[in-house]
Amino acid sequence: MSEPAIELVEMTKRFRNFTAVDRLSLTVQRGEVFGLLGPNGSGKTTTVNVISGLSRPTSGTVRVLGRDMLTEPRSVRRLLGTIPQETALYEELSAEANLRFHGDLFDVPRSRLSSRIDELLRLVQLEDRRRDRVSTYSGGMKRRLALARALLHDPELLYLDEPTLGVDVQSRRAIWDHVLDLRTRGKTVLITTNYLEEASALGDRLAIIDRGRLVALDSPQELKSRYGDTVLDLVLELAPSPALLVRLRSIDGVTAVNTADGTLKVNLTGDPEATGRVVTAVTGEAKLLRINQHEPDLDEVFLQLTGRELRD
Amino acid sequence: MKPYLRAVLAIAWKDMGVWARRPSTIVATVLPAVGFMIIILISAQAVGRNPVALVVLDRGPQATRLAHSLETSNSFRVRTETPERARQLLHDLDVAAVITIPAGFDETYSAHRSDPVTIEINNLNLDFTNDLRRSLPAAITDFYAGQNDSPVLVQVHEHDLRSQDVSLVQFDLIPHLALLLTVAGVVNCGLATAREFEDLTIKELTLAPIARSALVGGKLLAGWTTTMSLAAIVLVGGAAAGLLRPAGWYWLPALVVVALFGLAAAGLGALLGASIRRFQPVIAIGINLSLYLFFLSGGISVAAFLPDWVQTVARFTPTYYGVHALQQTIFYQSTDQLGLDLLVLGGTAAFTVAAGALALRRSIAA
Repeated sequence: MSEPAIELVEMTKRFRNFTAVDRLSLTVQRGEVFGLLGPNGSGKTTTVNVISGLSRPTSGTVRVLGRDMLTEPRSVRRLLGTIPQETALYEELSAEANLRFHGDLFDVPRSRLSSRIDELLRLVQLEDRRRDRVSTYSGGMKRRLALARALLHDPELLYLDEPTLGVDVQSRRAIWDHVLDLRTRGKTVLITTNYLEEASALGDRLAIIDRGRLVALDSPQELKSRYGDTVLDLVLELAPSPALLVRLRSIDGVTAVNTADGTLKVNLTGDPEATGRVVTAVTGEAKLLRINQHEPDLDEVFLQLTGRELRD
Repeated sequence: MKPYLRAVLAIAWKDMGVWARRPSTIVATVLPAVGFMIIILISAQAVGRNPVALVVLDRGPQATRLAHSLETSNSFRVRTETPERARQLLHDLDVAAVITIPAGFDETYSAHRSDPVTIEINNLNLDFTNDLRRSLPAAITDFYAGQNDSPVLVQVHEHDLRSQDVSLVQFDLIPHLALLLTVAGVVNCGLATAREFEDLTIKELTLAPIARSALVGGKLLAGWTTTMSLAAIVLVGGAAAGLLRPAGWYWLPALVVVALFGLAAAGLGALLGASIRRFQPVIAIGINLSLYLFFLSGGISVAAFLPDWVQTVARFTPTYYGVHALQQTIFYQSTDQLGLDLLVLGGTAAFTVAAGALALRRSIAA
């Protein structure tokens, strides 16, 4: 079996007295789309900087694509494609010149470079603007060009930092499609994003880190079912009696009961039988007009795990 | 091509491409040297040969000869006018003085009486006034010395230290070339470095599988090449105009000096850019620093004639040696102190390149 794409073991990064990442251990398998989530200052950028070799860990081991990042950083970088949050394109140059420069840095064979540039500009639909200065591009076009640049040297592992930040819906969908296409081609993708909808849509697994520590790691569905509540909206003919509310709160699997705008809202854990017990209790005492069930929300999971206070 | 060399050339080519697409940077680089050169050209015209009005009230052969002597003098730019017009020109500050050769000049000359040539001076400032006070008697002495029956038999034998005369404008071209080289090297390489940090494109470079030395080498190569391209324009233009034309093999040391100048300036630029990491302060500091170096290397006067304390400071200024070497090789076909000049310039280039490379590596690591 091939080695994982990323393997962090007890990785710690300190800046003087501040511990940015504290004994973080996680494994990203090859071919998966892995989301790294966390509030501002949680340590995710530091983690990614260590993975991409921009920063050295204070302790612990970091292996990327089977190589030790500390001893073989250059060979790892050759296999790593990155879209930084800032896009970091040379705005005075054309798209083609930016890609050619990247190809030279990554030593893409000259015989293949031109055809590879053509192929990627076609992929991100920038063919007709290839000779225009990047400074004339929209935000979405720049992100697409950054994606083309990251893919130019055909990396095994792609790191996307906020890949759809500040882009329109069309560009966002196009970038999502590219990411999903990469997965089908067996590439490993590491994403950091503040758009949890994006993380949920793209990620095979998500890691949530906070204050430098891993607080949850699983598939989006598992995270929702483990940490999120299913919410039942029940519309009754008459307002529920206090006795009904007390009875509902005592049911196994019910975590909260509230009324709002004439609707009874019941929060449930992942227990699949809890819904039936709630409906039975309600219909025994009142006339139920309508029922609606909301699946758990990743935003709620995130807030539950990392708290609601604002971070700098 | 080896990946290392390919990366160096790619970074250099990219930096040159960005430089060529930013005309404002090129203008900022060229402007100080061009501006000062224009000032020198205008000043040379204004103070080198003062404009005077000549009023000739005698049509005799001696008066005509004196008038011709004044007109062909290197001290004045002469326009012959009527007395009224000359007075008006003096009043309007169009001329610095009015020289009048009076009626009866030939007669007094033949009688060996003293010449009543008069000069009305616009003593606007002492520099102009002293020039005129010196120039008119000198021109009259020349006039007498050229006469067959002249009682003035003094002959001056001039022995020149140099093999050729160099005009003020020509002489001043060298420190201005030095200024251009310094500003271009410091600003171009400084900006190319600082911009990577300010625009955050440094990530593209640090995430690439290239050696740090390739990055440093590419930056310095671009800074040096852009500086040399500007120097080439000045040297070719200067040679075509006959202003900068070293004879024979003296081209070679002149070009080595220019190349070392550019390298030292590019290293200094990399040091500034990597340390400051913001392009506006790099432009401001780079240009100001270059101007100080320009003045200390004899930008506005011959460095050796400056006050003692300035000369002492100048001897610790690498550009002083560069300017000296260029003047010796380009104008005088001389290798006077060339070894020392090249040693200082080479040492400076090695130091600034090493310091720039170190600063860049530290900034990247941070």
